[in-house]
Amino acid sequence: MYVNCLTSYHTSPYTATVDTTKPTLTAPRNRLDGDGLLGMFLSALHLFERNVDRINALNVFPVPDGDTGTNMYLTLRSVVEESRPLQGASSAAVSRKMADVALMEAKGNSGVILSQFFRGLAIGLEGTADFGCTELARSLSEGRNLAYTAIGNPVEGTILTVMTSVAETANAMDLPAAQLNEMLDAICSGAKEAVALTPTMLPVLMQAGVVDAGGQGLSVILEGARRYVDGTSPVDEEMELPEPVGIDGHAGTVSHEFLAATDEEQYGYCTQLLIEGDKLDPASIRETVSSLGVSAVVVGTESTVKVHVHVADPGPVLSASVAIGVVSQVKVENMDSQHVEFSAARRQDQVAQPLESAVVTVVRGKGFEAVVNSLGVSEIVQGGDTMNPSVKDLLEAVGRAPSEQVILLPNNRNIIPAALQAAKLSDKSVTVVASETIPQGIGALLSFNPDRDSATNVAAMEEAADSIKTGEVTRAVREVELNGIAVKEGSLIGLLERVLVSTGEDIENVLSSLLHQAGLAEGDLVTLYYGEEITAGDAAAAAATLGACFEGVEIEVVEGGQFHYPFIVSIE
Amino acid sequence: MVVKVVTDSTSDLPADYAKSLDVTIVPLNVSFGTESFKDNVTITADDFYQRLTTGTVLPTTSQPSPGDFVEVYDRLGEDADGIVSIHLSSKESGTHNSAVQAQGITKATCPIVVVDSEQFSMGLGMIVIKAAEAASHGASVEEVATIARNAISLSQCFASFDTLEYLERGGRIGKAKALVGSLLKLKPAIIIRDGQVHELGKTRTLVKSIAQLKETARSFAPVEALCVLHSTTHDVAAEIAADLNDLLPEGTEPLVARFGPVIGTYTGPGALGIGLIRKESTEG
Repeated sequence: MYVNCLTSYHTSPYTATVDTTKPTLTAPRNRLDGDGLLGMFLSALHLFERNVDRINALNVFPVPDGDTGTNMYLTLRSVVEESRPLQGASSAAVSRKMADVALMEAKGNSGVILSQFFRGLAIGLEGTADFGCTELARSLSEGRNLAYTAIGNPVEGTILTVMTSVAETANAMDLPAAQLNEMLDAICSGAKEAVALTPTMLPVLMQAGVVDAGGQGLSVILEGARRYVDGTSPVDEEMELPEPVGIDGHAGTVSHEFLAATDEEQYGYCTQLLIEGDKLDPASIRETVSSLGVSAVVVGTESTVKVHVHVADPGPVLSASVAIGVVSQVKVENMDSQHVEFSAARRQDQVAQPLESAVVTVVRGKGFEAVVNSLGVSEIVQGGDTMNPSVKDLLEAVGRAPSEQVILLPNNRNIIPAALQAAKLSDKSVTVVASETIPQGIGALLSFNPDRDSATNVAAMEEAADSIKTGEVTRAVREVELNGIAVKEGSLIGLLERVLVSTGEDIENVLSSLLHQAGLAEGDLVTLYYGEEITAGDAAAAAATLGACFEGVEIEVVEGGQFHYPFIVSIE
Repeated sequence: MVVKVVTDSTSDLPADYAKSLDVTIVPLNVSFGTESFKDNVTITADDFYQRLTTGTVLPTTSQPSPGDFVEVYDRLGEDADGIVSIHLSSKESGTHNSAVQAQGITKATCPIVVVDSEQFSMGLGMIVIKAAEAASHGASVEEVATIARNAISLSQCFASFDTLEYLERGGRIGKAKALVGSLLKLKPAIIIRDGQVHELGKTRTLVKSIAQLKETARSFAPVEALCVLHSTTHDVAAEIAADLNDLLPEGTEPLVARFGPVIGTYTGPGALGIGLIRKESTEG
């Protein structure tokens, strides 16, 4: 299932040109300049490349979902590749470049968190020609704090926990007396321990019997850096996975909110704004904003801070923000349907001012592309599971969209963070409607009306996306037992709203069992989007079989052309 | 003071209701091939939808001739002090033009005011009802015409179709072109704005399309009067009407009416719609 991705690593121009020189220091050094910093991450990249598929295999759901290993690898590769021309530069210049690249190239949720790690380095190494333990310890703390800041609902038992452990270990050392290689030894041991402990903090990991993929990814990066400083260990071997701690404990509920960047409670006002000023403190702004509402996401720098929060009354958030700096790009979206109707009626009173807004969406598969095109999408970004587009890809598509008001539909849980980042970085007014699946995105698209203003569109699109249930049929990449269902490697599995509900060898049985679980009622519509491995005839036959089982339910067959999933099912 | 109100058959006003309001309806024409019928006069809605869904020939429609209007104006002019003639949007039909021409031909000597409602179906019907009520209370021809013109901005008409096929083939897609060409089966919804068809939204199930119609109706609150329309599903329309009862002033109920043959040529079977008139703003 990961063959395509791995092939592309080996054929990339980058690996072909630099693979010849393995990055190592001839002797341990206590301070590193810009070249040393580059060496650390070049070494990390080499080690990571050997470990991509092992990290991917740790993904909690046995589907090609999000590919943490791939996303971190692609992000890290861009960082190293684009920073390499800075040979002979200061550690400050290289770290700043790395942070800029990471922010633009971050892929997936784990990539976005990794970008915060690099931003931490840029802050910790600011103004340095070279750096040692003191600066590194400071950088790790900064990165850790930024990562927690960026995520709306920090979840322990993830890469965040590993970042905390690493920062604490580094700062607990005898600074500035500690040696750099000692510090890297210590933080790598700390990282491995923290990774081993992740199943004790996150029930879904314990149930799946794995350690956290993102945490392991960071551990591999640090190990690569350690081997560079140490100068003795090879950098191109697979790393042993830490033994998960306490795996026999009782199972918890699967967390659907696993590392979700934003929580989508649908009430009150979704308030978003940009604060610009000097010496802004995102942390204290976040504290203020969090005390006023829920789902607070506050990211940014000293000069620009983006605020997103759900509140019953947007007034206090606006007042607090105005007191902090210059406020712009204020977007207040009413999430309460009664109020939506009220404001729609109010708008009707005014002369209709057509606000041209455009939709940018992420899909893959020629059928899906044709469907979203027929529904009036302006720009399509190729991507999905196993291929998360970068922030840059999204930004470019937003830039091409023929409107200043852009609505972005990520259509994948793991692309939402990159979409939010793109929305923040764009010069245009961009709103992310956080669709987690393609059926949700298509549902949202149906509610898009180019005659309406962006805020009304977004409210309607969020509601429409929420009303769609998504089912998926794919193959298990490894043996697993989840929700009391034992799955064999290579078997078909049915997922309803990302929860494993059926398995078997017969595709119509798996589909039928999936639809039974969905609790269909008369008048419901089921759309079967068939993937590239299914013929139109087989899809029609499956629809006919299902039609006989579910009376009063309409079943429509549409080509999706997606990879890995024989069927993606929209239930409404 | 006797002022007569005239409209055309695209108002979809039920015949008995029009009679009770003393409104005269001039029929448009609907033809299947060479067979031509007077809307709701020589063909009933039942017969029409039967032929529409089972026949091989698609219907076409045509405006009343100026002569049709002359005949009506001549007759009403005999004992009226004025005539207010209110018709469907002039952007999509020549009916308004026929009426204007008839003004110059008729023997009637009383003043005749022709009003372009910029509406269709019960969006037009609601304006006509308001004008007819004023006329029945003895308003002058200028007063009735003014009431009709003021009602245009208060009137709304929107509908949800099983398919856009009929609207598109009939050449009345207007500004809702974006609805055409979807690869998914859609229930398209349209709304009349500035005399033309605009997109209201797209849904894919009957439940959601009904919810969308109701939600749209509620967005226009406060509402003075409302009519639920259907082409072939009376019971569904009656249910929607019952659900929207609370939107109206106490003691009044929504009407249920049918898209007649001419409007039905564009809506097709399975269509549902709402015509309503909002309460006048109390501020200025």
